[in-house]
Amino acid sequence: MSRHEPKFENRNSKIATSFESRISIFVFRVLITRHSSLGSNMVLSHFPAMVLFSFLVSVVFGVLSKNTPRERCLYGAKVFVAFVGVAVLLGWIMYPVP
Amino acid sequence: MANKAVQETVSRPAQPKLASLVWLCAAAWMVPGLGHFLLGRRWRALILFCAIVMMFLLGIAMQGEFFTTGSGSYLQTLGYFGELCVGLAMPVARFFGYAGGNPLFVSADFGTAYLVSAGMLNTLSVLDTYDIAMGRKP
Repeated sequence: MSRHEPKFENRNSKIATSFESRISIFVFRVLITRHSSLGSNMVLSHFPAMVLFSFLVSVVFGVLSKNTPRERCLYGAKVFVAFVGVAVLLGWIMYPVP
Repeated sequence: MANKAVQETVSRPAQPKLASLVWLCAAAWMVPGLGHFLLGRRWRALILFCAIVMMFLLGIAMQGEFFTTGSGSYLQTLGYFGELCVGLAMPVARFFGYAGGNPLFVSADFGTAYLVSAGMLNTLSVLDTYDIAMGRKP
């Protein structure tokens, strides 16, 4: 059966019969039935969440702030180290505080 | 002196029309990185799209909260607009059934921060698109 061969012989049928439309309907149904699991439970402790956040923000800052790839990488790395370093430093400063 | 003024006038890039500027900024808001893509900066567009969308998806995965405007709290209203800045991702998530997360979930606070930050980063992306379109940046 070829890809574009209609399933039904009645060409006046309003039901979508082409291969592409059947795939799109299937994907739509999968997405709709899986909607309850869209917010899947991802548990991160504070430090991994902070590192991941810092990484993503550093990438965007590097791309937007500098003009050449080398400058972007260096600046992004500096921002990432600053984010994580300052967070760790503040953590140690607040450590004695009850 | 007159030659210098003429040279300065010739070297300044042409100002884009207001309609195209508005369209570029709207496109950049709707899809992260689309403004850069339309201006021909494809690698930047791809990196921005991946980073901002990944941050948004991680926020959803951690059950971050979708703020609303009817709560009566100024902070929540600001948070709503902050999340709205990510563009079409928020209404699309709502359309596919994400009701706004579980505030009692362990990582929900981190998720909410991720969602709002994704919006803020997209705002920076829109402003960068504007600067590039105006010729202020390469």
